[in-house]
Amino acid sequence: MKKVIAILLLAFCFLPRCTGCVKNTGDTTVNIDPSNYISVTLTKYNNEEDISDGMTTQIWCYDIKTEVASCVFEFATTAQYSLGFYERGTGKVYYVQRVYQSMTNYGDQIFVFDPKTGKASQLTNDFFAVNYVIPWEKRLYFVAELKEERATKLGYLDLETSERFFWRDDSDTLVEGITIDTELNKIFVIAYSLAERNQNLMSQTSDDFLIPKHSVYVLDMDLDTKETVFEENWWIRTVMTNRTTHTLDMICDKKYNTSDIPSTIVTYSFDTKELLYDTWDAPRLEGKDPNYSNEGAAIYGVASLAEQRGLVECNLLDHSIKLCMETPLGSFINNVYVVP
Amino acid sequence: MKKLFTMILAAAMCLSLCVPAFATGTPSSTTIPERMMPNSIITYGKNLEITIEFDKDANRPTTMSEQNETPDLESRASEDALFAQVKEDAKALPSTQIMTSLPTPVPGMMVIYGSDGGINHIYYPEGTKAVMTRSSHVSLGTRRAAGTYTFGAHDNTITITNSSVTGEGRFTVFRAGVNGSNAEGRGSSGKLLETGDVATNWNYDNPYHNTAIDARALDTNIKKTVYKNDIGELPDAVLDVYFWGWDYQYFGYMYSDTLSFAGRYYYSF
Repeated sequence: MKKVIAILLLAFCFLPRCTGCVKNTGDTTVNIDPSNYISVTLTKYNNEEDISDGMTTQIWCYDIKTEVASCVFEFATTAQYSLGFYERGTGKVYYVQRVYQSMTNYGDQIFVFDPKTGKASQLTNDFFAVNYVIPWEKRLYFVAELKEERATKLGYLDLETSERFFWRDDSDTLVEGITIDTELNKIFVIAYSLAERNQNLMSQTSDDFLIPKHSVYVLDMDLDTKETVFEENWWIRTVMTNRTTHTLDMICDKKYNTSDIPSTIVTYSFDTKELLYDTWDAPRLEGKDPNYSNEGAAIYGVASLAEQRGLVECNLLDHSIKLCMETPLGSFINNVYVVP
Repeated sequence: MKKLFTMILAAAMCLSLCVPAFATGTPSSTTIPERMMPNSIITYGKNLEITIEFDKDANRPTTMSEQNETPDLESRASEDALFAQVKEDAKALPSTQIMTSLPTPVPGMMVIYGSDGGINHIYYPEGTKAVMTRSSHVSLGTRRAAGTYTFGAHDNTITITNSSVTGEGRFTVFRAGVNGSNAEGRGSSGKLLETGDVATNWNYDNPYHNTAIDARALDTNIKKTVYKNDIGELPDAVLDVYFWGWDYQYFGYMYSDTLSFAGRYYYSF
């Protein structure tokens, strides 16, 4: 990636007003742009004076063009990790909640809320934890751990037939992260071998742990692997697709837990098949969430600017960075997903 | 008179041999002691009668073949500096001393005390304790709000900033099946736990499963990368290390159910 010069703009005056959540009332008759927004999951205490009073997860929509954030759905927080996805084109919200079959048999399952009916439906029953839910046309892509299995798997649920399909349905491949580009119709997957990780864990003597080889694969929407674009014994944290430059940017750390060292950006060109290496010298973007906007003019992710944590925009045209959605007081932004 | 003096002296000598240098509690049907003799295991019977045992596997001597680790001294200084910097950065953040009370004993409960006499684990008999629900621990996301949190009898400290989490205090250990707990050895990630898996304290720090954590045993200077795949109450510890086997060292120690040691961990995000 290119160097992003950190000209910090604390644009608090432009921050959208993020107050209470107005539940989705189901008006989907208006033609809503299904693209160019960011689905944001955040969690807040029900009662800040008594934090044992439970939590609520809210799903927000941040419109990239208008820079307005609005809460579209909320539900009781029960899953291990709060997760949801707002599908703006249909108004549906896919989200995760814990379901108990018994005191010892439980797991986080995927639900969908349909504003047309005003009802929620449970879509899975054998997951234990869910890392991603991403709808696309009549499919719901997920990355999840199934009960009694070890690896975190990528798959999709056919929402019409309820059939389920997996990529590499084995017990060894652990999916670290994914990005789905619905214009290119490609899925980009970061994965490594659990067996290799365990081997490296056992063979470390002291501060010499070798990160298992992370590989970045390109799949089609049917989960067929088309190519492997990059592999390295680095922690590949996220992959971002830039439709303007036809490139895939992978943010990597050469060692775990070295956030004081700028990440390495490895850029793969779909046109030339070449790899370019650069340094990310802007504020560190957390987790697996960062991605480009539709035109590739900005990168969005979660970061802290001047002690304020929230959704940030790294503008690649004027090299500015701004906080575009501050975390509401008493809450925590869990994850974001950029829908280009 | 001389005979009485001899008896008193003999009793005093016995006491000095039996009473440890630190204060220990006395278990009763209503109170779990905060401290006991090192490597103690107390169990409560069906009428809350108490049995005290000592871990026969504790403090096993180590043979050369079981030593497979190399102390990391090279990066100790820079790591000390990193932890010092985190403390400095956290000075501007809230600092909270967490006071919690120990539960009331119930029939079938087992309490394991560590190498230092502090509590490692409190195990409820299977089926008697409600599964911990999401709302019964307090992290909104993967961690509490930025600040310093101090808890437990050993003043364990977890420091959370906008870029990292550090934990300093006790490391404890656990394995599947002790007192019927976690019989399948599955962590909160659902996966079968293995060497290299650790549990964090879900009251303060709950990173995503498979988060890589740098961890160091402070007395042995063995530093390892471990992966978070479980969470637990950890009443008096910052990290709980999963069973690694009976035949070799890990973090410089042979495994026993009552092992505890000084440690610290760190990860960034």
